[in-house]
Amino acid sequence: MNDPDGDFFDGMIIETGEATPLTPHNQALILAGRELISESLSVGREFCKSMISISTGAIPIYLGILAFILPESYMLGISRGALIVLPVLLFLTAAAVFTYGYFPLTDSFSLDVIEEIEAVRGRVISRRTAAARWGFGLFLAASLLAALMLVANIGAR
Amino acid sequence: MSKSPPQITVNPCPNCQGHHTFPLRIRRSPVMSLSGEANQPGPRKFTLLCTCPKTGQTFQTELTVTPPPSERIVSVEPDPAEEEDES
Repeated sequence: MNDPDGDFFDGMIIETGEATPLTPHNQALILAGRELISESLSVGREFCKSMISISTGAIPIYLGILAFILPESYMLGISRGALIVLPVLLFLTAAAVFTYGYFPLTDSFSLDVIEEIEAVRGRVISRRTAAARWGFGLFLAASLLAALMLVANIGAR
Repeated sequence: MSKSPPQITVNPCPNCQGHHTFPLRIRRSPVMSLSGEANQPGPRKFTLLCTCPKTGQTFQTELTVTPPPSERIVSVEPDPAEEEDES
């Protein structure tokens, strides 16, 4: 055991407690940490993959509902037409951003150098996180605008 | 005050009852007080996971690190590159 007042190292005082076998709680925490690290890459990838389908799938749903509520011979002016098309463009942009996040990253690293693996992992995660955030923001904006357009045109038929 | 690299001594090891020394990698960062008052970060408690060099089993040990004035402790981990076994 170290002396109770601790050891001095470069201005720091380090007091060591008793060494014990791992508690069940800490064993579970280590397992959870392992899962967090191993799943950190696939979670962002799967999110981007799902959101590509959702963003592109939202376009025909929006246009379908719009075609249902608008009269057949309804003439859209330029500004109204642009407003109605804007959610479609936003959904497409969101899908493009999610595709960027899903796109495979080309990088090279050595499995023997932990720092290189961590750096590549960090780059992949930060790219996917950025794509997921921007894409989701665009998707939310598109959804809100689409809902607004639909509500504004209810009763036009 | 020692200028040697920080390390902890585990004696006895809960796995082999031996005596091990684990060098530590401690990350520190300077702290500046904007208010003019001394805002000294206090000691930080860490639960460190160490691997017994004899049995290869992991055990835990608690340590409290008190930083020097105007510094804070960011992280503490065993430095596997410099592990020693003195049992």
